[in-house]
Amino acid sequence: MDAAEIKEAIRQLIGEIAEDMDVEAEKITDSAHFIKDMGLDSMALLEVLATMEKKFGVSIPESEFPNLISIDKCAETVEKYLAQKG
Amino acid sequence: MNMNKPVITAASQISSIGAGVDCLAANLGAAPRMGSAGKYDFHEFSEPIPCFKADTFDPEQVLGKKGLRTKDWATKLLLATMELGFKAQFEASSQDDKPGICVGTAFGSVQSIGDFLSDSIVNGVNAVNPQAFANTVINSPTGNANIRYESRTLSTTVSTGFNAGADALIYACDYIRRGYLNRIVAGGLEEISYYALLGMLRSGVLSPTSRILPFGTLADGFVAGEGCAMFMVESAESAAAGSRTPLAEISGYASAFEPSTFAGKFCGESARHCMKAACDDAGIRPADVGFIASGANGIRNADAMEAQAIRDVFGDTPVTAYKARFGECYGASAPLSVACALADMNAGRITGVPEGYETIDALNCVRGTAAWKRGGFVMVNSFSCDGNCTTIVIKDIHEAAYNRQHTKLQSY
Repeated sequence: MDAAEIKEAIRQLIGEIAEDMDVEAEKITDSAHFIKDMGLDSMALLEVLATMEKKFGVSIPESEFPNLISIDKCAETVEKYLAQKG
Repeated sequence: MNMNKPVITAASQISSIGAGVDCLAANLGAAPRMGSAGKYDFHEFSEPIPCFKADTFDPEQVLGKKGLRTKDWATKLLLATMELGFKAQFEASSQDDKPGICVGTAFGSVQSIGDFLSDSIVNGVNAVNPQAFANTVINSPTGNANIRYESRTLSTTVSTGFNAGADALIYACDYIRRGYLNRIVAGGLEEISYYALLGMLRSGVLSPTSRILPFGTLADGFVAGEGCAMFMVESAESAAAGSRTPLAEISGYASAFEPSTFAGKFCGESARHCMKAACDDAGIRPADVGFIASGANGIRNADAMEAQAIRDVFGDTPVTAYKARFGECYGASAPLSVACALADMNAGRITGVPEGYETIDALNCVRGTAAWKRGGFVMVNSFSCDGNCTTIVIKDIHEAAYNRQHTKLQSY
């Protein structure tokens, strides 16, 4: 899976969560902050983490949790751990 | 109308018969609509199991899309029932005056609990969606309803097996009679879950011929169902103050326990006691009861026990069994029976069990539809094979009669 595919999959996941939480479509951008800009809550962020691990087959340590604040940052983190996985 | 007795001022239901109460007036006597359960997210039955599914509504259409993604089916069923029946009342109420919510359910969120565990076993603990955890507590549907309707006055889940819905109604009535709260939306909820259905299958209670024949001489078990029925229960004073016309009065109720069922015997002593005690609580004689909505479901020895108990206490009083229409819905069965009884009372009829099978001789079991004179009392039974007996007596409040009385009260 290349970087573009990873980002697209994360966009789709965030899109589903944001739609459920009634976030306006224009607020959902690759750089938008999940909490400050989109109003997602901590439970939603845990779901993002769990879903990414499941979807991409990687194990992301909890220490990375504070970094998962936007679609861009999530994609970077997944790429990093996919690369480590080899 | 006795001003100390709680009244029902609004009702809502979703079952295999349809969504909302209007469909009961139109479709209660129609041929029962049966579906089946086969494939679930983590499990599958080798053969689909016939059952009465409440898939008669679209959750998104009733509730909107927001917030539904991680809600389980039981929660959607309850929220949709609430939305159809009581949304306007909740919205019109001030924060301190919102009705409380009390839901009876036998199995609650067992599907979500089982799926959460299955997911962690099959896919690993880290792969489980943390949002799904909120669904794994038995009071999750009730809590979600409290959140959606901003009700902070009462959030109660009653889980007492078959009788949970009836017991939830009694809980709400007691709460109101003691003056703790004026209005409570109370009733029962049950979903058809893989795990509950598997338990029923293994314990041999499901009909191998996929028929539900209450009081049938050839009955061989029941067909499972799911649904939700909720009622706005309030004090008569509260209804009068809000200019809400009661549909019925909850005149009396009683509960009893039958220990002999654990020895496989159904002597009926507690059932008789329960029905008499409910009549006493209502201040009526058994002869005043116009018809009985029994809890019969096709388990032959339990049905025979109830039939004999009814015969002993009521003689020839007409009896029906609405479970023939929507299946054995456990915690939702008694509230669904109350909803069906309200529809029948309002239409001046008794919808009996379907034609086409032989019923126990000793009983005046209504077949098809019979006429019923408005204004009387109806008894709803919930007797379970685990020995719990619950009976509720409701009184039809004919609108014209109510208006006369209400005007009289206002004139004092």
